[in-house]
Amino acid sequence: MTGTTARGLVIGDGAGTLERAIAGRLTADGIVVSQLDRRDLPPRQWPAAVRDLDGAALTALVYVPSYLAVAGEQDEQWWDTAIEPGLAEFFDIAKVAGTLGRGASVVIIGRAPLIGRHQTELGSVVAESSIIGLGRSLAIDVARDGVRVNVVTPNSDAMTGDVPDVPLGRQGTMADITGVVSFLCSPAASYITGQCIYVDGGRSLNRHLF
Amino acid sequence: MPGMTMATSARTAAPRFTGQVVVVTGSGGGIGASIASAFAAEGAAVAVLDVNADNAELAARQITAAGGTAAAFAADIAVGASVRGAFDAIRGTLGSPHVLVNNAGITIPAEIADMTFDQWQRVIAVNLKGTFLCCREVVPDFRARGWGKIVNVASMNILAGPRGRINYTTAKAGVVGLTRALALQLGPIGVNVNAISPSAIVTPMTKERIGEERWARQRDQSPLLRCGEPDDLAGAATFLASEQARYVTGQVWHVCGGRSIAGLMP
Repeated sequence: MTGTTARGLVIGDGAGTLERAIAGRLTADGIVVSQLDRRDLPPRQWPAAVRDLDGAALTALVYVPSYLAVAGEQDEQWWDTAIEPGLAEFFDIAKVAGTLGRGASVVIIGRAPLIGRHQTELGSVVAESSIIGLGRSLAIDVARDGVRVNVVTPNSDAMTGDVPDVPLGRQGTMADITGVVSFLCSPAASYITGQCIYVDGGRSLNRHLF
Repeated sequence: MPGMTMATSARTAAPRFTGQVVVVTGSGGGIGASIASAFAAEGAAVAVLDVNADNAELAARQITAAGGTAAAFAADIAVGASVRGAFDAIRGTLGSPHVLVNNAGITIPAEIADMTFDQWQRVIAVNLKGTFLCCREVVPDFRARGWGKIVNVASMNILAGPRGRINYTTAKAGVVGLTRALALQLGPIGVNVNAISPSAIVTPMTKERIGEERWARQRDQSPLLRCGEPDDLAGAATFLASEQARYVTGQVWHVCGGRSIAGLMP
């Protein structure tokens, strides 16, 4: 990469706290970062937009899903409005990843379900689980193009909840999350792909992936 | 003769599903038909549900010809109204369901560059939304009775699969999340929700498509040195739906001949 400027793209909510923190951290790493706001551009148009941005030259793509949490009776209409749009977005981000060039790193921000407390959060549990499947299968599909895909999963419980539930004994910070994203987008992580990394102070130690 | 005693008791064990109505989706053939037959052999009245009415009829007739109880129902599980109609018909014909096995699934493989949104959406709709819709349908029955069993069929692709399966793998990983979330939601009303996660199984549908070379690799990667067959899943499915597994919920069982601990090359 000597002589060229590394470029990155953060896709999510433009004003999102995490999105901005990630963009800030990658900028500090010397990456020129753009942000794509899902409210400005419908997901279906993301692949074309990224192509226009010369997506093949991107070194870092960070995707923050929306994880809609919609209350209400869990019927077909609820599924179609609360679950389906989020899953449809996964398709568009996969298409974007398919346009990236050799050496690029894709980081997907996962979400740990609040298992045991919010038993009605079915939608987010489905999305959280699906995204791990997407991360793994996408990693397999783009590997031969030299593109890596990993999932970084914070735990909102560990960010805001009771410290006694967190083995490391403190709440997580934005810097805890962005540091791992930064690492995965760096050459130091060049042999890591298809992984889901929980950044939660050990909060998830009682659960397995699948 | 302790050996003979064991063999005899295995053959004459009391049927575990007498008096129960068991719905198996996608049971017009392959794995689903094998699971349906296994439940019927242990006394269940089986609802053979399939998108293909002819296949459902044929599978149900095979069960009744073998002395079991079964009836055929047709539905596209991705469509709420279709699911509702089928379950109403099941209740009318066989009675209120005790066990639901969500086996129906499709694959539409495509490389990312070639995959269309329709191919993505259809696979998600059948495998994930369809599972959700069928689960939703039995909740009132289970709640009224105070117990019920759901067994979902995931896929070992959630660990690692071949290229060109992002739609299928995302959907099946979602089925795992659904399994856990429903186990949490429905546990308090006495419902067990589990998943089995098979490696590729030799069925009429997969035999040709997967090809001799990949079957050979599958066989070599299994510590048991053979490929999976439909009946290999029926044992796990019936066990998870039985009273023997009453303290098992929210779990995913890999029924894969040990491939999940062995070489897992995409």
